[in-house]
Order: sequence, then C-alpha cells, then structure tokens
Amino acid sequence: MDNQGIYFAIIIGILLILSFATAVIWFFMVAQKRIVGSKIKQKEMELIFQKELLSNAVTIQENERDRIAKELHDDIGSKLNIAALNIHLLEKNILKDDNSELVFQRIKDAVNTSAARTRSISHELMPPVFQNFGFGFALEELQNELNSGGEIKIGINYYQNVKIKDKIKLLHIYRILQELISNTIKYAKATKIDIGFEDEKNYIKMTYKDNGLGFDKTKSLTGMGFSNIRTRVELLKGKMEYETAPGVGFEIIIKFVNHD
Amino acid sequence: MTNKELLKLLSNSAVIISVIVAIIILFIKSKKSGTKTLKFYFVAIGVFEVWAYIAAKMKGNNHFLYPIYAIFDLSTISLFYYFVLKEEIKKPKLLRVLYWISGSCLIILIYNLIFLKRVDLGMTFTTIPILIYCFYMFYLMLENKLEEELYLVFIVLAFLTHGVSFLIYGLNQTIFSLNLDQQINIYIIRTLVLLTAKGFILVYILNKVFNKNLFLNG
Repeated sequence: MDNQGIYFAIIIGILLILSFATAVIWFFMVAQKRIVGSKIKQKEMELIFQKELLSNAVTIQENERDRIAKELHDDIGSKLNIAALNIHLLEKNILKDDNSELVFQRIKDAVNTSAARTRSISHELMPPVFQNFGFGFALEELQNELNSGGEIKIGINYYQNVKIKDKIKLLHIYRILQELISNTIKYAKATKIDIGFEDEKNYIKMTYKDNGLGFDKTKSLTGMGFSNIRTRVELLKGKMEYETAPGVGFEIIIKFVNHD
Repeated sequence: MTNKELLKLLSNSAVIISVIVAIIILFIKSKKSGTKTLKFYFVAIGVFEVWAYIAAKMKGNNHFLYPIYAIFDLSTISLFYYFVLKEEIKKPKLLRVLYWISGSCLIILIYNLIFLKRVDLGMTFTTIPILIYCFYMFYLMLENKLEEELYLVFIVLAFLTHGVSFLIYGLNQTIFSLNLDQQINIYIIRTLVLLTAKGFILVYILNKVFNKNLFLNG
C-alpha cells in the first residue's frame, strides 16, 4: 500500500471508531429511554394495583365490621333487650306468681342464646380450634363439618412436609379456603373438593379443585369473594392462577413464599 | 492558519477543556466506588494535561510523561473495572481475569519503561486491555446489568479515545513514514476526536451542574 493509501486507511479507521462510538451512545440512549418508559409504566401499574389492594382490604374490613355490627344489634342486642325487659317486670313485681317462672325462663333463654351467638361470632372471627390446636386441626374440622353433610366430599392432602409457622399467614390461607369452599357450595353444585399442599423448596403450592359446573374463564371474576381471595393472596405475597371451563370444574393453584 | 497552527489550537483547547472538567468535577459528589474512581481519573487527567503542556513549553517535549501516563491510565481504569465487577456485577471469578490482564500489561509497561523505552509500544499495550474491558462493559450494558449513565458515557468515550490511540500508536512507525502534512492531518483528526470526547464529558457535567443534580450516579 502506498503512503496515500495508508493515510486514507488511518483516517477511515479513526472515522469508523468514531461512528461505532456514536452508534453505541445512540443505541443505549434509545434503549434507556425505552427501559425508563417501561419502568414508569410498570410503576404506574403497581401503584394502581396497590390502590386496588388497599381499597379491597378496607372494603373487606368494613364489610366484616358491618356484619358484626348487624349481628350484635339484631341478634344479641335484641335478645339482651328481651332479658332486660323481663328483669324490669320482675323488679316491679307486677307479675302473677305463675307467670314469673315463664319470665325467668325467657330471661334464661335470652341470655343463653346471646352467649351462644357471642361464641359463634367469636369463632367466626378466629376459629378456636385454629387458635388452640393449629391449622391442621382447623382444616380437619372444616373437612368433618362438610363431609358430615353428605352432599359434598372434601379431601385434604395436608401437609406432612409443609410447615408454616406464621399464624397470620395460616389464617389467610384458611380464609381463602373458606371462601373457595363457600363459592363451590353456592355456585358450582360440586360433589367433590380436593385440597392439596406441597412444599416446593422456595414456596408452598396450594391446589384447590372441585368437580362442579365450572364457568367461562374469559369472563373476569369480579365478585367480592374472589376479590377477597385476590387480596389475601397478595398479602401472602403469592401468585395464583386458575383453570376452568363450563362443565369441567374449577382448579386454582396458589403459590406463596414461606419464609419460616 | 496553517495545519500546524490548527493542531496547536486544538491541542490547547483540549487542555483547557480537561482542566475545566477537572475543576468542575471536584465539586460533584459521588457515592459509589466506581464513580469515585472516575472522578479521580478526570481530575488526574486535568493535572496530566497541564503538566504535559508546561513540560512541552519548558523542555521542548513531554515524552517522559507518556509511560507515566500509560501506567496511570491502565491502573485507574483497571481499578474502576475492579469496583464495577466487585460491587455492582458481583462476579469474583472475573476479578481474577482482571488481575491477570491488568497485571501482565502493567509488567510489560514497566519493562518497556525500564528497558525498551518505546513510547508507541507502551501506549499500545495500555489500550488493548482497556478496549477489552470496554467491549465487556458494552455486553453488560446490553444485558441491562449496568444502567449507570456516567458509566455509559465513560465507557463509550474510553473506547473512542483508546481505540484511536491504539490505531495511532500501533501504526506509529507507518505514520512517521508519511509526509509531514499527512502526519499533521492525522494528528488533527485524532485531536478532534479527543476534543469531541472531552467536550462531551464537559457538556455532561455542566448539564449535571445546571440541573443541580450534583451526584455522579446517573
């Protein structure tokens, strides 16, 4: 190569390096812009989701308060009013002797019913078997209750190797199962429910399956019950996916991290 | 204006820009070890440029600075990559590769400084590992493992300046065989590239200052 050729080759070499560097900067700037754009979008989605989650949690809490208030007012409150009224009659001595026994009986009934309802409400809030004997026993009790009805058989594959210590987490799982069972009973006309737990090293996998009517998966689930389940799964920092179709039943798999 | 005068003007502009960058960067804070190393690098470059300018004025040439600059350049950039690999990419195995490459090149540089005393050879040996690191960093950025804005700017500019240096010092003997005008033209283009790189850094830093974002963390 003559001198002129070498001279141009060097200049072209320098220009090539310069263009490569410019191309790299341009490429990364464009890529970065896209990445930043998609990150902002993702953050916005997360924010919307968090808001929904919060609103769901608040709604659940408010509904629960509303239910408890109604139970207290309509059921226990009215029973205690009856008892108070009858005590008032006894106080004033305006009853004939043969009626006072009846009044005593009424008071006794009202107090007993109130005590029973109070117990029942408290059990619904936190099942005593759950509190005293743990999640496994609570599941067994749930299973026995349903199986004794005879219309639906429930099989629970719990959970020799699965160990969850966090009580709040267990309560969420229990509530999710209650919600799923309630949906199956209400809408699915199923005769069989299978519940399974598996420890998959990094996470716990819970499977719930019924042989009911199923539904069209393309229709989004917007009911309060399902929204409760979704909120609780989020609180468990878990993920869920379900499979269903008309006539083939319903199956949901929930995976959540178990830090215990 | 003759080509020689133009080359002198461009070189002096490069010195002024380096000094401005060095002064401004002193007031910018940095959190990560990688960015701290870069800060030190830019400040030291400013000092070197002034030193080289004064040496050229006083002694007539500044060739004695080339090997010192080469060792500084390779050591500081290796240190920067060391922090990136250790603290951000967290790949300790790659650190061994870094030790081997930088270590052997530094030994060759010192050997050259003591025995061979060939400036072009020394400068070529400095650029090879730096170009390898640059390509690896491009790869890491493609994988989205590094998103630091300053790193991107630095790596691209390091690639640009060291790529051109590799070409110039590698073909030093060939360039000397060209006529004087052609030699000056090549050095003008090289200085223009360096000036672009330094100008880019200056604009980047000024942008940080005017946006009151006084952190070198992207």
